[in-house]
Amino acid sequence: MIGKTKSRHVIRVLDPHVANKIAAGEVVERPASVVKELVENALDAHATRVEVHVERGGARLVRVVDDGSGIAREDLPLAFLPHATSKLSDVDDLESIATLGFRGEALASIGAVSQARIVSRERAAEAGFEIADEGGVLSEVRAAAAAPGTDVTIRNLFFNTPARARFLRSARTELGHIEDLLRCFALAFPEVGFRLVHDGEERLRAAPGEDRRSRLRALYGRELEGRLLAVRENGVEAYLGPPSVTRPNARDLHFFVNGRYVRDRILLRVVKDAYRDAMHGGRYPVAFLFLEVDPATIDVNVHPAKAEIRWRDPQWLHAAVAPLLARALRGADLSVSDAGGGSGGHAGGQPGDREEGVRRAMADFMRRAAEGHGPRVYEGEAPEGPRQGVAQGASPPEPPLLGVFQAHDSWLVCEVEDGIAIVDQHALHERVQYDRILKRLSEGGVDAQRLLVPEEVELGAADCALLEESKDLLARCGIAFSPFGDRSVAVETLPAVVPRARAADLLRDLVDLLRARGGAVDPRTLFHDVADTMACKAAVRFGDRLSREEVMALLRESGALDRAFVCPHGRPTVWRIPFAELRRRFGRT
Amino acid sequence: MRITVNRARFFEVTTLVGQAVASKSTKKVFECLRLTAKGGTLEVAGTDLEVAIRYRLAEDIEVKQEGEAVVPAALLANVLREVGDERITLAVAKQKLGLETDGGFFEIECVDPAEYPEIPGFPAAEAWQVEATDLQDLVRKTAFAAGKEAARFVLNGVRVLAEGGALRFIATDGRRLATLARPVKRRNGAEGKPVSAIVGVKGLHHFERLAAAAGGEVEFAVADRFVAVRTPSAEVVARVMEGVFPEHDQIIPKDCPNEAKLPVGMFASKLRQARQFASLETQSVALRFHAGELAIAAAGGEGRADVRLGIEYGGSEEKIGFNPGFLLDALKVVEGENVTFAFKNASGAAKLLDDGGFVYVVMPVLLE
Repeated sequence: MIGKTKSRHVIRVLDPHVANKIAAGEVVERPASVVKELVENALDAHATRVEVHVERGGARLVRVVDDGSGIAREDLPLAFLPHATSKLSDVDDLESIATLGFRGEALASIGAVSQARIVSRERAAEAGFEIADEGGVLSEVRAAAAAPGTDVTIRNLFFNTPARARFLRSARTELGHIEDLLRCFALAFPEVGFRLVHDGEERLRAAPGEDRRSRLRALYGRELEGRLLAVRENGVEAYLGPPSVTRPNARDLHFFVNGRYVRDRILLRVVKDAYRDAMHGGRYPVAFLFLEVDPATIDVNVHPAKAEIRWRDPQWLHAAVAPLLARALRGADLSVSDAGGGSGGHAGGQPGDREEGVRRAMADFMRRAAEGHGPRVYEGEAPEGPRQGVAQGASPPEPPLLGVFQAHDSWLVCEVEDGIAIVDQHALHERVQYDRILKRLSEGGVDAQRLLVPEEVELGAADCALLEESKDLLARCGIAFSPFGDRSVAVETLPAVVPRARAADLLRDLVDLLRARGGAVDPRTLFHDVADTMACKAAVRFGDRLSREEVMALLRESGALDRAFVCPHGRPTVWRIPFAELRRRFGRT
Repeated sequence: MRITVNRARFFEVTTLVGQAVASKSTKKVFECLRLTAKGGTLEVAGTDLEVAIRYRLAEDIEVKQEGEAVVPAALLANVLREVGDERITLAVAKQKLGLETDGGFFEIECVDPAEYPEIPGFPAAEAWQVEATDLQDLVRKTAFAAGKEAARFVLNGVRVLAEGGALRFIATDGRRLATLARPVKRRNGAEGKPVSAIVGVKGLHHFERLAAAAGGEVEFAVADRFVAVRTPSAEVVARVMEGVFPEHDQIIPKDCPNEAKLPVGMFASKLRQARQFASLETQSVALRFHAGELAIAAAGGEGRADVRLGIEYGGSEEKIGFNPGFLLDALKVVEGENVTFAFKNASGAAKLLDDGGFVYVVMPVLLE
């Protein structure tokens, strides 16, 4: 009896079929993962065209046809063997992976849970060969008619793992994942042609030999593409959406590192930081970021799906990439403008409402001015003599501010060089005050309020160590603490500027910041909420009548007409209507 | 139920008790008062489950038929405010309260009295006698120092401690602490066991209001789950908070060699002057003690202030930073013309004492 029990618990090496099925669970999650692996193989084989045919969301069929280098007859049986790969030969190669695939797992995993068939012909060869893998059972290699390249057909995915098959979503959802994926590949490899056909219908087509800009236009539409700000410097290629176009999540942030599409928290943080001055913290921009880095500085071998990477030096991203993006954004005119016409305004605003509001304000102004008791019209100081857009002669460095009036004690309507700008006086002043308060807080030291009894905060050993490393930085923010056991700290002082600060909340926020930014924390972010409240109280309100001097001071100090901001709550402060738009509205095109 | 009652008096009581009732609740019954007519009196009760108030109207009232009703507090008070009659008649039938006045009739939809939360009775056996003015002082001089949204929940309450013939209140938000004790006695003259509980500030303010209205002596009791105050016509019951409160004896500094005597009005005035310049970067002012003089300095983005006042001081020369708000809070409640300010050095706790036994501990701000 004892023997029997023992035999049930003996440790055995798993049958390769079982092992491959288990591995398949990590690599092959859904049809899109199959497409990903196969397209990566095609790209690694230097294909110039990749066609993907899918039936019923990929559950019934995924077929990837490329015109790449093909697989030699003698290599075909190896394709479905686990850890058989043409891309890696010894462990040193792992240090600098230059191909998309490298683990030698994918085809074996896919073959284990589907009915797979590979037909391939090397470019120089006269004929092609085929091999099939039916749930892990390999066929003989046979001769087959084929064009140069490789044609992989995967039928009935998960036919032998019903548990996994049940988790497949609707065909439409699965197709959506595949489309997203191919769009990413198409962006990463603009020189390669891509085509996606689903149940006989073409869903995506990208011609070979394009550049990135035309790819963006083809894949995301002319309107968005036209508003993207391009940055190309130092191995960084980025296309940044205007801050007025925001998203509630990070889905429209696309990161590519050495041609590999990745989801990466550090890059996310870098991009959000770059937009910090121009976008509310809770929203996400639209951006495409392509980085070319030395393969030795990243580790892509984190997870079988290879969607995550590890950076040897994340600090580099903060030090080099973030300022590059921020500089580009600052240099651009990012005010809310309807020049491109149409959608994508700030989430909370209805462009239609705004237009209507301005139209009414202008009409109202004209009428009241005609009646002789209109709102005060402020003559700008810049131009002398006839108004011809730009001041003549030795023009002052001041922005060419021509005329301004305050409408309904709430909006400042300004003549600017290229049209009209409308300013939300409260939002803009709030922003000015906010920046001033944060500057003062970061310049002066922050006093530390001592606590009667040290407040114990439990954080866990790793976070305590992280805080300990940043002790000096915290002291500058008015936070002093000492270790309290391994997992807790005892907080002795808190920043006096936040009168009701809770030690636990502050420290947890700090730990998050420290972790996300690798030690390069701007202590000011801690005081965002305080500055926000103070700024709101200190700003002129909507409905406050402003004198001419006040209006001029606000516009000049903020530089609002040169660059645009959002207020600390993320609303835009300036709306610019260029001449082109005005002409269009009045039918003067 | 059918009663006739003096309108002005009924309105007053409805408003008073209505303060304990939630103004907005997902459950209608929590926005209601319970009216109980029994034995020639009308009891008006209200609760938000944290605090409960019961008030007995015994004068200028005629109970024709006993009974009870649960009525929306705000609506009842608003109607009573607007009608001008001297006396009105209330009648309850089929969960509707009818209000008969000379100029009209109102019918208010009621809630089933069975749904009304139970309100604990006053635990007379546990009661202590305390002067109403003392109870008012206890609340007024401590509750302000309680936390507003402290992470340690109990710090949002005030600890009440009855022992050795004294009732002590202690409140702290982790940065300062206020405490005061006043004499109490058991009705039978016995000393009684020491009792302690933590009560929310809201309940204490009801105690204060009740004591102010009653005058004389009131009863104060600490039971297991609640603390209560009783006057001849009303009771307030406040639920206690569970948790461990910091030991005030260990927090109040004993070693304070430097002692100054400060004129209250002048000190407060100078602090207010200086604080104008401590608005933002620091929210703190620096107190520099010399022989015979206190200098208060503050500096910020808007400018700086340096103000002085003559004091009695013979200690060493010291400079300490404080949040001026913490000091001003205490100066508002102290008794007498002078306070004693005692401390050791720039990083240790300081204490402020008045002539009436009030002790206030305040932690310094470590100046940059």
